[in-house]
Amino acid sequence: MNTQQIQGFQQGDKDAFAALVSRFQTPLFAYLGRMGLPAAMTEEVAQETFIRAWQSREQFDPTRSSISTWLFTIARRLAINELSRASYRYEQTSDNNESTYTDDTSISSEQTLQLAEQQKLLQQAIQTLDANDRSLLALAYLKDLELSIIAEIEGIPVGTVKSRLHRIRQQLKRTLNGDDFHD
Amino acid sequence: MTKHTKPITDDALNELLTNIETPPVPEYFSHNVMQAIEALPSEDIVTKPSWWQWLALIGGGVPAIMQLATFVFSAWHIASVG
Repeated sequence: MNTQQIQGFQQGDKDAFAALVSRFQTPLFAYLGRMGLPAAMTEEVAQETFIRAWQSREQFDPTRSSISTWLFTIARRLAINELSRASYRYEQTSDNNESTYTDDTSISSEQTLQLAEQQKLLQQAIQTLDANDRSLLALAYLKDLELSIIAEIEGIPVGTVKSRLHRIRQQLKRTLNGDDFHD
Repeated sequence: MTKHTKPITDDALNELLTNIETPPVPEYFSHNVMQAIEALPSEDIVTKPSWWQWLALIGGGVPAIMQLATFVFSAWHIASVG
């Protein structure tokens, strides 16, 4: 988004706001989906993020942060609230844990099954993480987000981002390897 | 949770996390957002009061307080004089 569009958005220009929605809807869905929110909840939180952004557009200060950082910060707060309110941590829902989003025919069916199984296990492992950890992990694997931006969204120093990410990855590895579970 | 047959490596985990599947954006999504914005009452937008609003508040508020003080003083004066 260019400066003119951002200024337009701040002044209540709905066309500029529509451009903002169009620009950031995909990254927001990716972020919320990676946090392990069910599809319906992802849509709800994403919509609420844009509504809050519109309502508080005059409070956005372009000299303090970028528009994307500001939007992700709103989305993060809403998503963590939703996760805290509902008990999604261990809940398995059919719409986000099954591999139904892609239709990649370039790989063999055996590989597809294996990948789907791994993805399912990973989703389950992510569900066991704390909401703040889920957010950090989701941001870390979003494209084109630098560590300094992630730190700004999370409200923590860059060093803490690195150390927490290391700890989260180790936790996921332990969970996927079955070290945290006694079947 | 079922256990992996082979212990997962850092690289494999990294690849899985990179390729995690996320829900697609529904086609109607932006339309729904714009509709929700249109449906918002205009009062939702908090605007700072301008100078003339402050002036009107002071211009109306000060005489009102003075009038109330005069009434209270008059009532007290009448009661004390008997």
